Amino acid sequence: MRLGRLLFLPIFAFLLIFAIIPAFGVLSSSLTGTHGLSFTFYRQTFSQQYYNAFWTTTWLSLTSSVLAAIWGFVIAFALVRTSMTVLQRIITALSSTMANFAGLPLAVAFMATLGTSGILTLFLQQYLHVDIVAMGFNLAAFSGLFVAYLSFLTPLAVILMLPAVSSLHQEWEEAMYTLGASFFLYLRKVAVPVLLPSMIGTLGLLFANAFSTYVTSYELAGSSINLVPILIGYMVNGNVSMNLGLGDALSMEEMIVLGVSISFYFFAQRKSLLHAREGRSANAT
Amino acid sequence: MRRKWISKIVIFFFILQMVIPVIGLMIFSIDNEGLFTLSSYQTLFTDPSFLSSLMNSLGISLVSVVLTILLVTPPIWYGYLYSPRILRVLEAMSFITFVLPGVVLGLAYVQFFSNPPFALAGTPTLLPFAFTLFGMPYYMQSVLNRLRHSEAKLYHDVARSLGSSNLRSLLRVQVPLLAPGILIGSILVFSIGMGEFTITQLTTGGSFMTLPIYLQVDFQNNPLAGAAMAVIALLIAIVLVSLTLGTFRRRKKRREAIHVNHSSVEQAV
Amino acid sequence: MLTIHQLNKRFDHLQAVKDFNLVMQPGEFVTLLGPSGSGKTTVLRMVAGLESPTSGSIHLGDVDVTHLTPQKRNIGLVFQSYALFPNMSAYENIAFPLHVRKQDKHTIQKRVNELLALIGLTNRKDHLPHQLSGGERQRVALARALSFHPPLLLLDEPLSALDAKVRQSLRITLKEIQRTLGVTTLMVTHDQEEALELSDRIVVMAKGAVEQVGTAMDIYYAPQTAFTEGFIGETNPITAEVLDVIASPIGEKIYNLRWHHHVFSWLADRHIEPQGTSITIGIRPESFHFLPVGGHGSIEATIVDKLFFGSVTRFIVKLPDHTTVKVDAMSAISQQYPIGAKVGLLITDPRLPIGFVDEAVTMTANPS
Repeated sequence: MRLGRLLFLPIFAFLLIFAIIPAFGVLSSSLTGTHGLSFTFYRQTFSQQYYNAFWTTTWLSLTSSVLAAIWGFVIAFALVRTSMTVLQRIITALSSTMANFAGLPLAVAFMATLGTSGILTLFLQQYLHVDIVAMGFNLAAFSGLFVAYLSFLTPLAVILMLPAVSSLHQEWEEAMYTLGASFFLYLRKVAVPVLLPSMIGTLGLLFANAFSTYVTSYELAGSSINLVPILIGYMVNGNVSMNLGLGDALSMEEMIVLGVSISFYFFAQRKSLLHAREGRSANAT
Repeated sequence: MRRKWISKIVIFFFILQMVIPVIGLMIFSIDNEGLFTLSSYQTLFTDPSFLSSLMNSLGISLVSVVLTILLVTPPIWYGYLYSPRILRVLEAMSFITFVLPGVVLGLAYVQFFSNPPFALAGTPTLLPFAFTLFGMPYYMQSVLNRLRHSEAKLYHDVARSLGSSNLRSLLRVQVPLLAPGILIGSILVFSIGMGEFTITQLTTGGSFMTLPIYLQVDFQNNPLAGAAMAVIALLIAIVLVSLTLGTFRRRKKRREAIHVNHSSVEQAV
Repeated sequence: MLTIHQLNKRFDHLQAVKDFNLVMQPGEFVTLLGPSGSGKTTVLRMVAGLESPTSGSIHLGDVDVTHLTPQKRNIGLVFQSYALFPNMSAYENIAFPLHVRKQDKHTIQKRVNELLALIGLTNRKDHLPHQLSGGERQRVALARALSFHPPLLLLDEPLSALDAKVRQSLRITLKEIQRTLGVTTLMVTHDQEEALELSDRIVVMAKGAVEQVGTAMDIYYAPQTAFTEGFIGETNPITAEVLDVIASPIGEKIYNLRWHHHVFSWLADRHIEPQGTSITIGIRPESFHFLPVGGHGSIEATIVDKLFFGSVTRFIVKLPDHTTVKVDAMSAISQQYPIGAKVGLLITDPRLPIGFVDEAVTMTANPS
């Protein structure tokens, strides 16, 4: 039987060679200057340009993921309340499709729809006399990326929230009503507090997702916006200058941001009351 | 009391949000200054480099799927039955991909694999490994889900109590039992392979044409053909998603479907 | 107190409740008893306001509540799944309806502590629901439903999610609390024992309609429909000869019957009428009694099988005409009756005073 453990050998070797060692490679070369250990690259990342990039990336990721989490919660909540299984299936399928469609094709779809000569842009101009370009909307800038990010973060939020929202007991709501409370009191006192861990977890995952988004912003904005993943990408296939050490330092910082926000997800999953609900024993926390 | 109409309005707006870029894209791809045209699709299908990038994408995705199945299935199965602790370690480690996004991994690969004995950067050799790495957590979850819901251990014990050898139980009982999980996991890995752009671009420098690389180049040169290409990517996504959902429908495990679909997401971005 | 008149509920193609009528007196404990799908829960939910009736009316006292929202009905409801708010402690759950009613802090505190003492959970008041056992959760749910002094308490399968032992003790607690507070209570259950033990009156339901309304004794010993008879306990249908009909001291009809030469008295119920000189009635297994063979007008019978049920033992007994009946006796005496033994068998109606048989009839029926 012990021999069976050999089955683990290839996969651990795989993880070591293709994930862990390369990651440590990034760590070590980010700390290696011309004369051994050095923080030069990290010092460089605190210069104005990179500081701005972190600020913009964080702000873009935070606003889009918070909005997507709230909107996704509303959608999941509405979906459960229609109690129409057909509709739920359609939305699940639609969300998965959109999530699979994300990346390059979605970016292209946005340029075709909301670019300067996009279908919707022209339609609004010609028929409703609304010039969104003149109003400051630019697909290659913050506003455009914000809208594009929402369109892959929202379905992701719906899919992440749906299991939690659908395990809210209908009796809790009914109990609220028979005890004299309104729908909004139900939301405030039960639904939101109970779902809070799952909302925070979802938010963590959405934020990490937005923060590491490369393809969408690369295609839509390219070098016209200062985002961390785009800068890292430029360090590799840079048209300007290849600076791997700086890229490594930026990567380490990005990994820290991602690690923190992902840990929210795992922490929140453990905290969830929805999972503790069935517990019978008195010593459960 | 249940305010169903509010729910329906909310869902309507969500569908609108999802569908508008898709409709825009479709109109864009068939619009020739107000006239209907399919020329962009025609150009696409007669372009030999489109066909070769399609073949490249299919090939690399299939290789990734085979690699994932061979590499990941046996330890999960064995771990679930006999060494849950090592399995837990493996599960935790598979989440490393969440902190190693495409750009970071690309940067790491370019450095680590540029010197002998692993001078692999610049060739597509690294891609199946990268796609396997990205697909691993989703593949693992879908096989584990299946293991949990099919009482694999019970059937294994039953088969052996009836005198079957381990190997025979594995081939005749366990593999058929796990097949749906393997299938769904494979589709997830396959769709990652078909859509991945970042690693491909960073490690091959664009020298290896896959569908996404072709799309990126093509849209810059000829937006119409690029849009047509994106429509095809959408169709591929629809086919893959309906395959996974179809597999679930037959098994009537909706809860599980929601669970795995959540893993089908979040790649590609 | 509660008056339900001609209540109907349709779900698409399903008639869930059909012409349901019920009048409850203040302080009464009424149970809706029936299998799943009998419409009993739908009636309860309509009373609570969680479901709106297709037609009919519901009055609480003099107030027509048919179209009121649940919030305005002021009715306490205990759910089968407890439905305690998972993010609030036992104390907060019980205090919640009082907060909604904007009562002052002091009143709330006093009331909640009083209820916690009543359900015996004062020392567990800060626990979250998942830290409580099933029985404790159900008691908190009961306290929560009672905290705002509702004139009517609804219980939806309150004990069915609990294991047998807890259920038994909680039944007693429930009955005690209901008696102490004197709150009018309408309970839904599919558990006949629970219904028989707790209720002042039972409404037996099947397929959305009322089968029978009566006291526990009525329902048990005088089932009026084949459904009720089959649903509640076991019976031995026997066809006996009617010898005589007399009036009891309080004016009920009592039959004197003869079956296999055994003469016994049986309280008549409105529903079952003699067919000529014979009548078919259902005899509960425990309404039979054993005597020594040939004892006091008993039937000579043979024990063919014995099933040990714990405190009770069931005997399968063969009669002279080779038919069998099921007889329950206390296990304590079952050793005296091994398989194959001959016994004398008697029937007594538990609703009549012990030994109630009209002696005159006994004489005339047994001249020998």
